[in-house]
Amino acid sequence: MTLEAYAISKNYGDVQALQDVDIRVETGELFTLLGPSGCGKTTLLRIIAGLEKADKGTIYLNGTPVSNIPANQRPVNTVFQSYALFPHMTNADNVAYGLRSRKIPETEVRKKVEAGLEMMELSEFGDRFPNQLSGGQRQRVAMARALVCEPEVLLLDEPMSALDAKLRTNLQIQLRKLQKKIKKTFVLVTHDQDEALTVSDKIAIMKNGKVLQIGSPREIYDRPNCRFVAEFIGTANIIDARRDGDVMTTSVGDMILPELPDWKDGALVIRPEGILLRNDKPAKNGVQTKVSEVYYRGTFLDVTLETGNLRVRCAPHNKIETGDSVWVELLEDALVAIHD
Amino acid sequence: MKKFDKPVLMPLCALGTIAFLYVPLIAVASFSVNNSRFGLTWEGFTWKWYAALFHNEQILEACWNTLFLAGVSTAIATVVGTALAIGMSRFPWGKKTASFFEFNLYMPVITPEIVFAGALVIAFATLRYFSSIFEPGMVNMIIGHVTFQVAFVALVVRSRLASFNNEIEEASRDLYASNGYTLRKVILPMLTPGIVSGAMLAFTLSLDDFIISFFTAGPTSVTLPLYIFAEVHRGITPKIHALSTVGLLLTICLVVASEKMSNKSKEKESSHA
Repeated sequence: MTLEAYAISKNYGDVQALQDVDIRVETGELFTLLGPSGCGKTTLLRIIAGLEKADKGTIYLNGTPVSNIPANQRPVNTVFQSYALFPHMTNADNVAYGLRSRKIPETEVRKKVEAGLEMMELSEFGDRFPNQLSGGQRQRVAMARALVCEPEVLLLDEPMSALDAKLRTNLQIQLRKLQKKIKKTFVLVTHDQDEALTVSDKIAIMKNGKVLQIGSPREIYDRPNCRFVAEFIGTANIIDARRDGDVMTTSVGDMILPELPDWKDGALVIRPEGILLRNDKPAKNGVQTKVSEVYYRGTFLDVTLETGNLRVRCAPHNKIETGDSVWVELLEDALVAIHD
Repeated sequence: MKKFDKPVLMPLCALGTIAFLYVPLIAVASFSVNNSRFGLTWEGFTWKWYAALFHNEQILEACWNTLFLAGVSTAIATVVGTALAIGMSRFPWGKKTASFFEFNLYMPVITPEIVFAGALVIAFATLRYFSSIFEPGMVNMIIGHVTFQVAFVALVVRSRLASFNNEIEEASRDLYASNGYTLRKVILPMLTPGIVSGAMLAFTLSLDDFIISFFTAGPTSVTLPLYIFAEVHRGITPKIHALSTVGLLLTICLVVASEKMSNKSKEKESSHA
């Protein structure tokens, strides 16, 4: 089922939580709303769920407007940040809740609950209460509870934020596998950029109630469209630049781009992987400089250069030390022109 | 100075306070089994004052009145108070309305009971123009007790409501439940410990209420506190001690039971973040 949010605005008093937000999620897509806290991502999710009403704009499910349909009648289920499990019910009863509330026959409920618990590898925990489970298990109960309802759209509100890092990485992969398997539309809210890059088909970067960029993880990482996106995701070198004829004049030297931007003053973004260390002068976009800092990070060396404080990532077997004089090449295709 | 190394004063103070609180109660309990009608001297152990209690028609009637009053008023106050608490915290009232309600909820708690009782007398006198139901007696007493019990029940239930977050109810709505279904399956079960302890509080408040009862009672609705008050005018007898002791024991049982109950529910939720 496709999901569309069209021109959604929402104010809380004087605070603009959302301003004219448009997103479109295709069937079977895992769409992530990524941004710092307070950017409006959770508000948007709650509006999609029907738990909150937008001041302006419409939510469409498969092209049908659902803004006036209350939460308990939308084919949408939510996994809450706190999981919101019912503490007075067993895990099996928790999972059965969304079925029993719709008066589905008990034999069918049992079958579905059993299957749901099994899918989440919780079969042996059905008779226990939520407080007898670990955080990760509780999160899976919350997932099972939402999924047995067979929602067309599953909403996940920071589902991993309460878990420790190792468990999180594991669950991210499981979430991705699960979503591929059941082929439903998922909308995930997170402030964790690694999580977003790992699991998503598409990411919307949000800030102060606005969507700044929507794209695949690769697009977002490789082609950020503004300073905020470049800095929010991963590490970025941002170099002030000015268009001067066919070249870009920057503080680190003249640079050549495959395509010139249509503005005069702006900046160039390049990821640390886009800068290569050279023994001699490269054909173009070369900079001669000294190494100011080197950190060994296990899988790579984190090198900072004197010129423009550029950060470079290179293989750990390179023998580079502070003070070394080096040539670097800013790869043409890795340079992104931004203007804001 | 060495002997002051160990803290002596504080434990002594604590013991003194406990003695101050409990010695009178222990005295009452021991006089209730003292085989002496008036004296403060010990003249042997006896159950006869307790036996006399159960042969005294007036006392038995007062007991029945007390329990009936407490039972009925608690039942009403629990339902109304719970509804009030849920309504106050779950309906999106404006800020001013909400704080007005809040203020009103605390009024019966902080108003001197004697003022409250006086107000009830006037209210019932006015109502008597319209119906004879409001003659002094059980009906008035029940209404009077409910008026102050409601606030206590609502306060206890409200603090319980505040302890679980909105997401629980949102989750229920998200899972296709109507408001009624959510109330029955989620809110009320989760509130049960609060409702029970609110009800127990209301029950004990009604049991030993004197002032409101005194101002609203009729000739056939004498409760134990009223009876004891009247009896004491004629001098304290060991029968009264026995009656007080029974009352004390009942209260202790209630308190222990409610304590156990709330501990149990806390335990159940302690690890639920």
